[in-house]
Amino acid sequence: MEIFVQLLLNGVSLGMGYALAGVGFVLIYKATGVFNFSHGQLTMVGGYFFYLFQVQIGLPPWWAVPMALVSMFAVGMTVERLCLRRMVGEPVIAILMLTIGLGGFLRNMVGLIWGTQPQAPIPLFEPGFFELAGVQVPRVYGWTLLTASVTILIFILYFQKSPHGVAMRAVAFDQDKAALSGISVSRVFALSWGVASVMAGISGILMMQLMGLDLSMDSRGLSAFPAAILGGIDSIGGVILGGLVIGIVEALTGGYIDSYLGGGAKEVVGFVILLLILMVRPYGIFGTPEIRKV
Amino acid sequence: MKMEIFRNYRVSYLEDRAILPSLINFWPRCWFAAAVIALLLLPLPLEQYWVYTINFGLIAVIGALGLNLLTGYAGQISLAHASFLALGAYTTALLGRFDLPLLVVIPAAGMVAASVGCLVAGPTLRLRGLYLALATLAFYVIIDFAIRKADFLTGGAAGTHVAPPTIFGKIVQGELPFYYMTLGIAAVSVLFVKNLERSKVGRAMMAVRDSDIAAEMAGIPIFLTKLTAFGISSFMAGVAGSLLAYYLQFINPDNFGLSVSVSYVAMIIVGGLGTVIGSVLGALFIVLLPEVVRVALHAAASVFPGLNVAASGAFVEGAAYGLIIILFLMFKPEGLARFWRDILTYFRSWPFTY
Amino acid sequence: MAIHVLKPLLEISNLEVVYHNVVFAVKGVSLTVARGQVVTLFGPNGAGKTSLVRAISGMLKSVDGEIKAGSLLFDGEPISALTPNQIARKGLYQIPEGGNVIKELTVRENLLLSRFCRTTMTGLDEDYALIADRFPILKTRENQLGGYLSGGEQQILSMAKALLARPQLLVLDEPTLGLAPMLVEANFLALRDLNREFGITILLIEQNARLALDIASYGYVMEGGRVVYDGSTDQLRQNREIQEFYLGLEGNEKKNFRDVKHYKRRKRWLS
Repeated sequence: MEIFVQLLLNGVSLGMGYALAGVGFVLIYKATGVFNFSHGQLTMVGGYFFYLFQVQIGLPPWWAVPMALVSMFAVGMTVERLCLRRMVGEPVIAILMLTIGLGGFLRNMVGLIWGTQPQAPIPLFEPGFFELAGVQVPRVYGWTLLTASVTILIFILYFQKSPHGVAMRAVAFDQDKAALSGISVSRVFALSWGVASVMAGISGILMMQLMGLDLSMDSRGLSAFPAAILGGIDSIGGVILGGLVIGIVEALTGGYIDSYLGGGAKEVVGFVILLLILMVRPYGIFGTPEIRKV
Repeated sequence: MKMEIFRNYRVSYLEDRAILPSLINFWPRCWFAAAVIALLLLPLPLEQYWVYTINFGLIAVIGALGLNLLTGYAGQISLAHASFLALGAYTTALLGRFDLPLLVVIPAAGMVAASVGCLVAGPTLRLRGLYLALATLAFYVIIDFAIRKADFLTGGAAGTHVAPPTIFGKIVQGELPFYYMTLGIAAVSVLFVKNLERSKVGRAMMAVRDSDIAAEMAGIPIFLTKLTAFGISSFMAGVAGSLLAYYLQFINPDNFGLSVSVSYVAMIIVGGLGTVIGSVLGALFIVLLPEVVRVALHAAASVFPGLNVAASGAFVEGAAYGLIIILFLMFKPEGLARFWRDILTYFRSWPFTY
Repeated sequence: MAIHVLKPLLEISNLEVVYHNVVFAVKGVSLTVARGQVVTLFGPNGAGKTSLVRAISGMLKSVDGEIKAGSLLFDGEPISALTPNQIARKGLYQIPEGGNVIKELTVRENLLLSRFCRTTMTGLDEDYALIADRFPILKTRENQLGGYLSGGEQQILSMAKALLARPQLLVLDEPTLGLAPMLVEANFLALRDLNREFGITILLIEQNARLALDIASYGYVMEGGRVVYDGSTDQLRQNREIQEFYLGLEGNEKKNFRDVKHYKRRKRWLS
């Protein structure tokens, strides 16, 4: 029983990390219609930026975190302005490939600058355990869960209530009418990428606390895709739910099934779920179906 | 998608029915003959290493033709191409244990890959675009997992040896024999796809790509068409994988990772979606690109002695690779095929070009 | 004696609009709208009115259209190279066909968007109060999604958004299309108020010529991509072709069944 609760909590905090990455991803998709295959790499870059500021430059966390996030914002906006601006109107596969190429580029740049060795970051949260329902839970899970949830909450509030948030949603729903209302669509695109990159950055910093920092982080970020699809890639609530489900299922699979199979099932199970969802309900649990005219 | 690549201007029935219509006239035939002779003589003066690389390029041409058939002509985005290569390769490894000649093994490898390919077509029938890409990604992950787990068949993550190819009892070994064998298979593939693109099957695929609902209303069986597309595409990937296995003599799952799928997609996009010449040019471009980058890096290292080429070399290559794909997509999304067509048009309309 | 010629607010000269590089939609149209006027533009379907209006607001790119020739001057400045939001911020606000309501946002959120068009935020609260007063239906439905409003209510919301944006020129594309007759009257009255009370210049594309001529002072008739007739409202009302084809006034002669069966248009103005 104790193992189950441990795994469950691990899954929940991991899942919230996926949800956080997924929300940024959904933001880009909703606002700009681009499926960003490089989101895993963006998450990884966020982690490495934080490492740069925290360990290599030696700033205290109160400085390192904002600096890392500001850098992520800059990266996101630069990518949008430089690359994606030109790709308006190109076929889906070209844009997909662009993001894949971008992901490869980012990954190789990270490897070039920081090398292949796993890095040892200074933990943000105090190590140790706390008790919950009679089970020893590593503190890091609790903090990750809290941070991720608070971030998502702030984002949702911003998106729903503030004028800029309404403008972003307007562009997401109806680009033409939003432009007629005086909203600069290109600025919204740039802002969406910027905000999404910041969220990827936060997700990367949190994942770093849970799993350490090395070059394989981007393939772990790949699990954010099943999370987003499961929930429905144009639903923020859906991606949160999807993230939790995938996180929990992964953790439980890792704990129970992997011991029989000798490892590896954990990464696959997310994709099995993805395939099942795509066969049964491709728009996800909360997504809106696409209506096509012939 | 602009399909201006097809110059649909025919002046005779003979031309209309021809597989390579530009060869109706005399001068193009001369150029073509010269090209064939050049291809046959090409490997002789080159160093071993370059022939080795070109062989990989030819294998990639076969694989790229298959993927272009699926994605460029039938409109089905697939990230699982590496898995079909893997299936062909591992089948070759397995059958090699039974001392079967290559004329049996290569088609068998193709058939195994094709049957799995047809399996993929089933669940993905209703999916389009992005969702289809994700479904193929999922298939890739699952097949990769299966290969790593079934170590009694595949040797798992450690890999397995491949017996060398035999034909009529003689072993085919060495760069040159391999070159001619692969060149032959590649040429057959090119003719096959060129023929397919003007046939009923090919046109059905293009109809499904452009508007599947309208195609179904016009009487085209979507399921059969997609099944055929996946099947033929995976068959060609299986053949390419088989050749790869014979060439490398040792394969492991890392040879068929996601980056391989991605590089094949890059080949057809850089080359030009939906064109045969695009598949060829794109495949050669992507295979030769790392070599070019490596050469450039070494040249740069001699100028800037501080550059630590050995350690960071792989990363610079990878970054340059990604960057070139991005630049190509931003500035020349129609690919090398467009470039080729522009050059041909220039020469055809000379001296009236501007 | 010096004659002061007031600069027209909107000046379109010989505009040519082409779709997909092959379809010639607007074939050299010239049109001016003076400050404070209500100008109407009518014509049959497919005449190019919507294309013209899209060109004015910079909306051609998303439908693969292009301005091939001609000039568009708003308050003396060329606007053909500007993006739609830049044009809106300059004071040229358009309500496209079907209204300007974003269906997935609430009424309040839709109104909130207008602030991006305003040049100053002062007076915003007074304007909100004005809207609530003028269009009480919007106040009651404040938190409902725009898509749940009826067609007439959506048009009223569009006009409220326009008022909040305080534009100089308001362009409307067929605002009464598909509306119940009762709401049509209300919409037109609101439109007239916008012009008379708030001094907003209006360019109105309408098929309901009778009502359009009621509030307009000048009119243009477009057919087949060209302007075929223009004049003041009185001139338009007295023209026989306009009477027959747009106002539904048949004249008093008895109609021959043969004429009705073989419908032939007399196009005097094209001779």
